[in-house]
Amino acid sequence: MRAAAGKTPVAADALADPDSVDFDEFVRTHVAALLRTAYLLTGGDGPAAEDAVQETLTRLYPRWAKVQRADNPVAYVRRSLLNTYLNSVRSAPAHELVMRVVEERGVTSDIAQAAVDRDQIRRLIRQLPERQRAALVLRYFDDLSDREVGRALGCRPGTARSLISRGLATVRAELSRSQVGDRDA
Amino acid sequence: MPEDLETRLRRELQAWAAEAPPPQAVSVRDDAAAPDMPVKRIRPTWLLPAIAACLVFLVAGATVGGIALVRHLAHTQPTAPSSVTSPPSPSGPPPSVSPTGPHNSATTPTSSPTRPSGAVGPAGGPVPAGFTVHDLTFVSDDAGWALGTAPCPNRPCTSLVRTTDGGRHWVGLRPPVVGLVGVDDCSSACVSNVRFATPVIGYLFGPQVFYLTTDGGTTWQRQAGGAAALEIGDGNVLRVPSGDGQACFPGCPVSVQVSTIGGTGWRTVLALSSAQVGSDTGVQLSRSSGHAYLQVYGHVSGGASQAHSALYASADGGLNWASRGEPCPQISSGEIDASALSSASDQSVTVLCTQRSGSASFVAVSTDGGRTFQPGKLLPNLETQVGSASSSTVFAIGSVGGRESLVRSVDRGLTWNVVAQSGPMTAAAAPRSGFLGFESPTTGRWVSVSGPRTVWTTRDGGATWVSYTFPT
Repeated sequence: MRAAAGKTPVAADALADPDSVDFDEFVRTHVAALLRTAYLLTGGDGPAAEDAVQETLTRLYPRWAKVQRADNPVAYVRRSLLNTYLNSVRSAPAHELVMRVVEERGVTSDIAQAAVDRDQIRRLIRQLPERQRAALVLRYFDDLSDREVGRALGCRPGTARSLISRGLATVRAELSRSQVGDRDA
Repeated sequence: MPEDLETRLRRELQAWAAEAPPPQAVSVRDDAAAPDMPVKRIRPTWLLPAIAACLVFLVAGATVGGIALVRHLAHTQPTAPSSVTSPPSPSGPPPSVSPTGPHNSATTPTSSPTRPSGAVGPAGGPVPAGFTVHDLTFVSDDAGWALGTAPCPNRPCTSLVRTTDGGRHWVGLRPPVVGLVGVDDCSSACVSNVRFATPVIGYLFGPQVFYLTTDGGTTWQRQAGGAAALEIGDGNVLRVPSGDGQACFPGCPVSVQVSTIGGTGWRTVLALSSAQVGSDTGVQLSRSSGHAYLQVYGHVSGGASQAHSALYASADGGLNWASRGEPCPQISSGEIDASALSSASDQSVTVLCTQRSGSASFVAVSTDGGRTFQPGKLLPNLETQVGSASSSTVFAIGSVGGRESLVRSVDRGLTWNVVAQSGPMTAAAAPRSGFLGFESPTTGRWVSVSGPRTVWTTRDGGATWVSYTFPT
């Protein structure tokens, strides 16, 4: 792994800098997991996920020693990733109107039906508010506790629990509505 | 007992996350994995915008200061504002497509401006007016590229465009200055296809040329040789290298090579001699979910000898191959030959079978790795395109009411319905053959021969299709 360059406070002997080496090791070990989390946070937007991870690592590199001193560096980076993503969502202009998609009804194969089911739940997750989606991803993908989800999102465990609960309720209600629609059709 | 929502969420999120881009796509990249890739460096995302802001500030300051200075020096003589405040000449990105000027050395990478932060791929410019599609590639439901051409003053006019929202919007990129098969004089070099493995690693290739990009199409490095086919999957790249242009009798040898994604070293994994190949007229690669297929087509206009095709199958991502012979069941009198191939993510493979003497065709589907094929109903007017979303849901192009039509079967080719129609079916539309492909059981694309400016997209397994037409 080549050390990151650009505007960093690393001295000329950066390659010998133990912090730099640890940064490389951290990236090598955790970048795939961070990308997966970012991919879910962005609702399956690969380029946006890559941007979020890269921006996070770029911001953290100059103060990597502080990251290393954290109790849980992975949690620290994940929280930074969440902040990066949530900030980018807040600052991004709304440019796409999400429309409700009407499902095709008819005879489909099991594989096609499974794909339709998969797309349905992904769409519902995409349509959740960002913090609710982030809470669901942290709970059900990263397997974090309420306390850890709260830390990552910068809120109290009770608030994290509420975000998860509301996200689940929304998904459940939409799925039920869809099933009722199928029966009525 | 139905699965509870939390369990389902865990399962769906795990499956979804598995589709995340590979770590190589992030700028922090392991050199050992791809020694030939240029390494993009991490740069604070605010750095270039900040520099740009400073420059704007300085220019504005200089302009205001200049006005004040001129007015001060001129005293009573008014200064023409335009002489001081006229904007600098445009310095925005040059047109990213419609290459002009002489063809520079093929080994010299072309380049275009990049986005300031660690974004993936170039920002892109306008799509050239009159763009027509010749080939498509998608790395996800949203991220795709189209290779084509557009009118321009100086040929070649090969163009490349990209979408990041599933085909709703496109931007132009700058490909190498090279001709396009079927459009330009290809005595020197032409590309015919584009394939991307990730948002940053992609290939442009033709019979005599082979280009690789590792920065989303900002720069292209020419590699040795050319390729007749290339497909990506299962963590590697398979290609069929083209011959050296020399005539071979009875046919030119065919081989399959494998490389790592973005790598430049190739290893031969299947080699077929001239005698094995016969007088072939083309090859096709198709792969999905661990399975890979190579079809070598026979010369159906080549005289009295049989012109059967030959299918080769791999169940380990293209590393080991087995011969399956002619895949088409010989269900009627007279020779029946395969003329198109498509594989689906459920590991099924579908071939289009055509009577050598006659115009009737049928599709045949295999769910056992190409060992046996189940034929569909024999129909007239099916053309040389076939697609498959799954073993049961297959597609073909045909003439219905004189119009080029995409037809769909959900029972392995026994019954068909028209799901999209393009323009009149005319022989004048050759030599393009259109595009039909599925990225998943639900998402697929079609570009017709008669309407090459339109990309049709389905997201429901081919039941309904929406179109995007490039502006004239």
